Amino acid sequence: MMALVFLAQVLSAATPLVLASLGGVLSERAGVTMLALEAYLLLGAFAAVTVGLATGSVVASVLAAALAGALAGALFAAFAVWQRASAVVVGVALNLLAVAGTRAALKVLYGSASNSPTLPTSAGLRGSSIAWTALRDALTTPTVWIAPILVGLAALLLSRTVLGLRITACGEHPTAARAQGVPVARVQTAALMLGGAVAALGGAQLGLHQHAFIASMSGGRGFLAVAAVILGRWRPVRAAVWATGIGALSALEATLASSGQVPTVVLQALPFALTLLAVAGRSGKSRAPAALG
Amino acid sequence: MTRPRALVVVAAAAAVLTAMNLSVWLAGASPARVLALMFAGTLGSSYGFAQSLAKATPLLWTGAAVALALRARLFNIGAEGQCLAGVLAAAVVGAALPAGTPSLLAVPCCLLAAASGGAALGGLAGWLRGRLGTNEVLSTLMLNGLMAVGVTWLYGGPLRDGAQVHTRDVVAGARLPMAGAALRAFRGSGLNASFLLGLVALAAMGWYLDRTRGGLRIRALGSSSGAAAALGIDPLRTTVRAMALSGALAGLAASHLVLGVKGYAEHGLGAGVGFTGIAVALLGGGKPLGIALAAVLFGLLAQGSLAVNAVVPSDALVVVQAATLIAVAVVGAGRAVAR
Repeated sequence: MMALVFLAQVLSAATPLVLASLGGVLSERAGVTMLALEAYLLLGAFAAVTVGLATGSVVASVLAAALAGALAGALFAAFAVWQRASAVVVGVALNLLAVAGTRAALKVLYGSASNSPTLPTSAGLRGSSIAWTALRDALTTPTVWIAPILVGLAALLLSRTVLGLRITACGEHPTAARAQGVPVARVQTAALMLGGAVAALGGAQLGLHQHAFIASMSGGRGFLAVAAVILGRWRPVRAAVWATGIGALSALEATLASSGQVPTVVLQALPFALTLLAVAGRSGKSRAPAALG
Repeated sequence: MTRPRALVVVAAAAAVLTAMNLSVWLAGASPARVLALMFAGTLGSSYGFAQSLAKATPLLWTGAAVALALRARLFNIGAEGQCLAGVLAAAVVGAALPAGTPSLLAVPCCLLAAASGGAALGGLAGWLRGRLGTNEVLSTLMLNGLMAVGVTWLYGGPLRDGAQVHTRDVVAGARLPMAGAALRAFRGSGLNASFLLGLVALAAMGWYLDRTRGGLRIRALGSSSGAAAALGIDPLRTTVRAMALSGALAGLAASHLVLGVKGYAEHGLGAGVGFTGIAVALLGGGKPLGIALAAVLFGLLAQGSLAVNAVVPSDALVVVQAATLIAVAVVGAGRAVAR
């Protein structure tokens, strides 16, 4: 039973990280440094929960999150690609904007700056045991299924399609790409919008799993996803593996915290500490897209 | 790429003002009334003015921190965590000193502790960058996360002072003089000597970078040409030095937070100061005078947003800060300082 609960927790915890890191891979392969994954997660969660509350439809929630992420990606492109502003600064600014913007919008929409009303849960599905309920909750969240499918699709997109090769060309050698007639800024914009949509689906997972939007609910996951992008050497599948590893660590945190045997602070610090160690240990081996900036 | 700078600056300012008015309007208030309230709460009274400078004080320190690292082309996103480390170190050392320690001894001890705390964290990121090639943006982000988790636990647990959810008070000798003690008009405000210390530190930073060998090495590291190699500079040592100095400046924000205003450390003290420091450094163009002016501008905004708190949610301020950050990045596109 413990194993089932843990499996459910890994699925729920890894999905936002996998989707966010996949969004990061898509953006950075086009040569744009992507630190705004935290913002995408928050905006995706916010869009999913507000639309879910308004319509009661999970499909609408997921679509709204993807749309919000694509729009945020377009905004990112407007500044970082078309205006040539530093992508690092735009990323930091969008993170600030998303934290404060969603909190302010929460206040305006629902009269509380800390959390939204809860989404209706499918009470009829409640099973007999906690373990089965946890697993079923995880498996009936669509984003849990969407994540691995998108990872596969993104890997195919980047390696087998014209758009994917153009994205990689923009990230490796934009001047040569431009000489070949690739519209670099447009391709980068497309990659950023796609990346934003995918990463925001990770936010939808957060919101649907918690059945509510809570201020700053991304809680640093976007930064851990940035690390997964680098650890996965900018490849969709490898980044997803690292993201799942970090997600499993968070799930372990939840399981061990309830057992009370290990101090919570150690568990909370663990993802950051191990990610730092992993990134430092593998720094020499990774090669970023040549024109990343 | 050259662009008509004046035009872009005007466009950026217009964008920020629009963002501000839009967020005010969305929050359901009249922009004119909000601006009047903001003015009354800041420049309209000597107390409001002093409070604005108090809010600007930690930003002087973190703005200087980010700017110094940028001269070596290092992006110190970790001023946030380095500030938390300085706050922790200053509070622990300040509380551990014997009760009767004179100011002349206690204040330097605490300042040294704050600087060391920040420098340790910044230096670690510098070492990782110089020795292993770890991207400093990423390592400092992880260190920010670690520090935030760590101090939350310490202040709520081991360092907790009985029923209070903060650390023990630092000794009286470690407190910096408050402006209200010297000037009656500033009484009750949080303005203290850390503001002057911050201005001195900014001037010293400018002098160090432009006039000393150490500063030359840091600038050479940041220049894209072969200057660093031509000067025979050790990249590891210089990277560690730049990041440690940057971290020390960020840590010294504790001089305002712990030694000036609070007298102890608590959860959330110094949160956001590091990220805002990035905006201050960029808006100030990396120059001491510019950073000081940018810090004061953000201090006025912060105090002003408190003055209108009843009408506009305080989050609107962060929206304005983010808009400013993007506007500055757009204006600075192509310039080395914004990279």
